[in-house]
Amino acid sequence: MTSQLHRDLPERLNGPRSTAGWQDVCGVDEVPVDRGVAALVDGVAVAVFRLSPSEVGGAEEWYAVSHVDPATGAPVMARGLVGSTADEPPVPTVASPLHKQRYDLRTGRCLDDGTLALVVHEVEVVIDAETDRGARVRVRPGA
Amino acid sequence: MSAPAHRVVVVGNGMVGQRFVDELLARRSDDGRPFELTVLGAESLPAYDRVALSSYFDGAEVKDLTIADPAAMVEAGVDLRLGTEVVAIDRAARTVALADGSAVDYDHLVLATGSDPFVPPIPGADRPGCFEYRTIDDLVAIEAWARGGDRRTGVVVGGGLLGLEAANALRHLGLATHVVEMADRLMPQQLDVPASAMLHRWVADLDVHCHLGFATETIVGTDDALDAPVAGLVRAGGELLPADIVVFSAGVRPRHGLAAAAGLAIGERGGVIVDDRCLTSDPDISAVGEVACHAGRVYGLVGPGYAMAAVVAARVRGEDARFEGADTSTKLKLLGVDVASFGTPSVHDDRVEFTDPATGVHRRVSLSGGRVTGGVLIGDLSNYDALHAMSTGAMESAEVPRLVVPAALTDGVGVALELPDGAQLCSCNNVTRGACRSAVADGARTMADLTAATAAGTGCGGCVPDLAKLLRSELDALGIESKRSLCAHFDVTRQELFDLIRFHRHRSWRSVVEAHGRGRGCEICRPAVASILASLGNGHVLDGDQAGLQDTNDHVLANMQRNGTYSVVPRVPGGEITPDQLIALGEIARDFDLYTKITGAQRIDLFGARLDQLPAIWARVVAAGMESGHAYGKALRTVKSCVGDTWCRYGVQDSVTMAIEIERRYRGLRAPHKLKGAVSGCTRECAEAQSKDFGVIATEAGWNLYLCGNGGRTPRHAQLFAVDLDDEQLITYLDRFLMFYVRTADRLERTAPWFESLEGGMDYLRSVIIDDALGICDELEADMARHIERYRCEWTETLDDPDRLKYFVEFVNAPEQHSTPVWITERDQRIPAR
Repeated sequence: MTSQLHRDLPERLNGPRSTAGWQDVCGVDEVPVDRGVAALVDGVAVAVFRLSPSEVGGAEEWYAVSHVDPATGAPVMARGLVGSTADEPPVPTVASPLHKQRYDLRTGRCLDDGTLALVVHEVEVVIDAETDRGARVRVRPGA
Repeated sequence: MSAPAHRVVVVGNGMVGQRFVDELLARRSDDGRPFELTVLGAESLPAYDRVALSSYFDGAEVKDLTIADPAAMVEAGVDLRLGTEVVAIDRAARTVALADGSAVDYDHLVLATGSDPFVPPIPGADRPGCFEYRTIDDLVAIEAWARGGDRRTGVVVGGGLLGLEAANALRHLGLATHVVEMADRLMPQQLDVPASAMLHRWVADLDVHCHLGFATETIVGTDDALDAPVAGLVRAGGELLPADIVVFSAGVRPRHGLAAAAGLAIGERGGVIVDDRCLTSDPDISAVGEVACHAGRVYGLVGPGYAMAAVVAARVRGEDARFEGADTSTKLKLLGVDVASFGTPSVHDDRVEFTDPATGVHRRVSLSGGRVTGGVLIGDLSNYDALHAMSTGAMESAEVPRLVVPAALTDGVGVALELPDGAQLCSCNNVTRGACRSAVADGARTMADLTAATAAGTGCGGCVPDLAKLLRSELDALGIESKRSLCAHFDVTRQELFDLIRFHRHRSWRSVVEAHGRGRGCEICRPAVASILASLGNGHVLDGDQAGLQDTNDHVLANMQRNGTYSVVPRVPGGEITPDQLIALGEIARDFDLYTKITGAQRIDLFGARLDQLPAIWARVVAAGMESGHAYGKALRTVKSCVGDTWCRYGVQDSVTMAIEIERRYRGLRAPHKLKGAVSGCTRECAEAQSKDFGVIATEAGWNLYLCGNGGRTPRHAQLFAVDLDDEQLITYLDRFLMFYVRTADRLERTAPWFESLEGGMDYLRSVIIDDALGICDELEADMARHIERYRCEWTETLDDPDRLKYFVEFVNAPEQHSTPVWITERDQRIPAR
């Protein structure tokens, strides 16, 4: 049922590995803390998450995964709730907003259903000194 | 013959002065000595919670901090005079003179004047931009100054408990925050050097810069004029610390001026000297709280003040009561760091210490002759209760080295020490574990029962988690099933968390998780906290850090459908809709090609809207005079009605009007689960009220109220709660019922399973809601009144605010693009591909 619901995005996600490099996506302040946003990178819908530090004094964590929910084919993952598991150390997660399956944001592995996984993309925060646009988020699409 | 009324006058309406009034009124009895009570408060505000002052900058409002209810006091016959300054006491005439020249007679005078902040005599300390930190007026002034110009750096003078609280306030204002302390360590009164060093690391992690051994020589201005605004502090030796705002929080001094001028005995280091009955050197005058000096000691904590207030209140009623000193142990979160200090150790005592720099934990316990004398814990408070009980002698000292190691590291090889009944549990109200266990044995089953029976947990609220733990273990011992913790990030149940958030007046996720949880939360606790914050009337659900907590549907105020598009459900109160509104909805649906269906709740659902279309659609819905239906939230959905006696030949009451009134009253109320209601105009029950969370059925004489039913997967019939209610009774009971449910149910627990878990069933529910058996009906009604007063249509407010509208874009880097669901047409409407 995956690919009938949406015309374009799922096929693109399943397409060949992108050879493109890093792509500027948005400013850091455009991503609310502990929330995600969706972005189009090389025509692929990517969900970018910004997580508050997992402990006092730690650094914020950034993750990027595919925006399409593997269980339904709907482009909704950026609107899922983030969190962490009770493990030590905790696993950063996002839960699908449709049926609540949780995914490990680092690996894309689904914690509730071994047949499902998200594609993981690289993400980083850089200071754009040239254009004076401040801290920017950029993504390099994965496989 | 009855005695003439005893005229009692209280000077001061702070926390302790108010506690005295509450104690006196709460235990008033007909056979006790009659009295007339006059309260004279210098501040224009009624008593408020000074301990929680810094929460003012974390979103709390003045009324959130207020602990007195002036209207109730006046109704109880109290002559309450705020903004009234007492200038002198005439002990011979037994009168107090007021600033306006008038006088008030007393038979007994109670001094509860508290203390003044101590401002060190530093040249320049009176410059504009220099503030004290003691009253709400101070906070208003600090905020106005901080926001009144380009102010970036704030300096707190004083590294004690209050100073660090003030630093937290400056942090909340977004200032770069510094603390200067004359001593060589933070919290010099409570902590030794290693403990302070550990606290220092935690505080530094929060970007609060501490300068120790910093003696301020002078405070300089932006220019040489004496009244130039503050520019910085000069340290003895010459170094300049720049500052745009300076807050003095270097301790307090008893405000005993009135008493001293009247010739009452004053302690060597200040404070009005009192005996064990809290009487001053004049037997017609008592003193309580921070102005009193008992056995050479002035207490700066609210707990001992409350104990003194109770002693004097008992005496005024004609009973005998004694204050025999108080425990000054403290256990608190300071800037998010757990800190406890207890007992009165001496430097000559033996010590057992544990320090782990990696986790920021430092624990030290002092012993003398093998007995625990006191200690300090930073970063980990495990075993506090046992160690504290050993220091007071309530428990024999044993296994101390093992107890000093954090519980998490002993791996349960632990210490199975049973705390004795004499161990203190709530220090604000001096309630022992034994008293709490007795309350459970006497029938307390919930936290609300337990706090109503013992008053434990109603002060600072810091003991609520321990109280919850005790309740659970006692219930387990009795074989009664109790509710479990919320998730891995919170050890308390939803109900306990609700009580904690309510007591501490938390306004943000950050403060809730810092104080009561750990980590960044998960998909269980984050929406649960969002729901509790919303139930308690904390503003728009997309404001502050609440936006990040909302479930997907709440976050965009619409219901996500299986293809990622959304549905739109405007509120149609009672199912009554005008032709113009129907036409408007039809036109909106046509223009955006939305699938249209009548819902089971007498509303109209429009399906297939893209995220980026939601604001445009809602702008038109709002323009047509409709508002959010909260179909996306765990909240009140609809109150269904039949047409009642307006049209129906069988109707006996106006069910439509009542349904609309009820729906408007509770619209937007966030709850553990969705809530539905209905009103039928006669016993034919066309509105199906008996299948709702609350159902109202008209009778010839009024309304019958049914509670705790639902449809859905497991249908339940609602049960009859009360009969033949008038309109006002009906609304009062509904207010109390709904808030009681919101407060005590587990997350995602509908009213029917919640009701089944209430021991005592409908009789119990009636005793709580009709007879006020828990003494919480005032609170329930006040919480509901607050919800009603603060209700705003979430969509109307969202459309007015660019910050909230920014969430309604599908791709952050390509706002004009959107994903393309596959649609098909069925029966002339657009639906997702199958």
